[in-house]
Amino acid sequence: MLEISHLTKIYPNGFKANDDISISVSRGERIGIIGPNGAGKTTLIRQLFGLVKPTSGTILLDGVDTGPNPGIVPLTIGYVPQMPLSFPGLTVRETVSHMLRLGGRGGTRLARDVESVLDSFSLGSCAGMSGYQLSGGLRKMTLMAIAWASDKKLLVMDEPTSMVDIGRKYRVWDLIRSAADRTILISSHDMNEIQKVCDRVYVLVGGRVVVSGTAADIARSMKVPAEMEFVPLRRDTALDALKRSRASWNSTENIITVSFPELHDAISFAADVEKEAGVEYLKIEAPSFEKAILAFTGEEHHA
Amino acid sequence: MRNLFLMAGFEFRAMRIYWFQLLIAGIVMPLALMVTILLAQSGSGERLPFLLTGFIASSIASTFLNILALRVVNIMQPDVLELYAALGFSRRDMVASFAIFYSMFLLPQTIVASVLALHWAGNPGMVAFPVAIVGCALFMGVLAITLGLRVRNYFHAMGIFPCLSWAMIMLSPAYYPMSSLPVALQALMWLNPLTHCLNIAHHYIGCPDNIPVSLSVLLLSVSFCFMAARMRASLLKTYILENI
Repeated sequence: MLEISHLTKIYPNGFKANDDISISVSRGERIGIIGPNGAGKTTLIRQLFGLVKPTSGTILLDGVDTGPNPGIVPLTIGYVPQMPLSFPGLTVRETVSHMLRLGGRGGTRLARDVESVLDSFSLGSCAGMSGYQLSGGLRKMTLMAIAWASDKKLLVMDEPTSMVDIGRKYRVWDLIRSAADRTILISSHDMNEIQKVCDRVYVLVGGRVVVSGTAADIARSMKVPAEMEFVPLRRDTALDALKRSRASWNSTENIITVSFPELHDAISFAADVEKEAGVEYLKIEAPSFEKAILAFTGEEHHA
Repeated sequence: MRNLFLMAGFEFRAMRIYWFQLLIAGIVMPLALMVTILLAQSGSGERLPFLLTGFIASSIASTFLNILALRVVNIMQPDVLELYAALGFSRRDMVASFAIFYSMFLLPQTIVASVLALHWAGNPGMVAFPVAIVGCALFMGVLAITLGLRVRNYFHAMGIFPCLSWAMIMLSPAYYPMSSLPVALQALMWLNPLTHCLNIAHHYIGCPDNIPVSLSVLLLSVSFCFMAARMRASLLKTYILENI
């Protein structure tokens, strides 16, 4: 569906925003792109839409090179921009309806599609509100409804649920997950969102793809040490067990905190200590997708 | 063509929210100015064709430079460009639809003032005068769009365009003859395209010329062709955000 190969963008001022990026999206896949600010996500999207010229590399949509054929982009791609743009003087229903009319829809199909998409995105209750009355989240939902209703083969969503309330957020995630026929590329800072809806993830740092794979693969690829906190029933027995182990630990009045090189060490120790000393409270912090991404993007200490 | 009129209709609906502002700034205030001109000249209609022509030309310049140019700047913002690129709207169609909408907006006052000017004129060009007014609108429209595509920064544009339209109107023979200014300022007026638009319109409404009309036609035609070429190139440019 979408094949980005060795895409590099160097701006006239010498700034390299994208560096040899290759991304492949098959039909029906939901792909996430994660990266800190300045990672090159916006430049990537702008090249996709033919607004910025790639320095080298190609973008193929359904096998067609978008460089010499820019007309294929609006026919194939629907877009949800990051900014919550709106038309202040138009109601939500008018905005959606007008965009679909411009897309060639009319008659009873237009009316039916407008109501259907308003319902799908929980916009029915604010369909009569003007753009200037909408919150940022509702503006994003309106933009998403327009893109969703456009029936384009590929949807590109830039921070789709930022500013959106949690109820609608889950609604959108359900829609994305259940739409098996839609191919979706999501650029987001929300790792929870990416993990919930995307089949595969590309992590962009400094304009390069530093890692890609499923969210689980990425989390597993990091050897993040596990940390265990517990309150034993028999404290002295537990401390004896700790002294025998090679783990580093410290203890406050009640809670004992132990660090392990890997998760399975923590699990086996937890089993041993439960058997010998009994456990009143236990918490193991294992490598998470979020921690793995933060490690890749070098933001771990700021999180 | 279907999309062109759909977009013009869309613009009309989208501007409903500003209806009071548009009513006052676009209809009430210009008509009030026209009534003032008519009252000031009561009893003698000798100068009315000259002043009404100035009123028409300054309304066109003011509307196009203050509203149309700013709308064009708005659609050239990176976020808006991204959205419209994805929606598949051609920038050319959008800009054309804005031009149609704001031309319609100018119609009432232009028609009323033109009819009155033709009525009071001694020997007017009944066809040539309206053609000159349409030509003036076309020129100002292309000027506003070209400048809107060029300036791009909306906050700069909000300062630049009102000043520009004010300067163009002040330094043109809209409400006073060129001969009433010192020669140095008259030379400055030659650089103002509105002066030449007015010169042509004045010629066909029977008011004395300050500049040979053929020279004004030539200067406007050359600059029109230059601006139209720039405008077309900007609107059809593929990698529009390359230098932002």
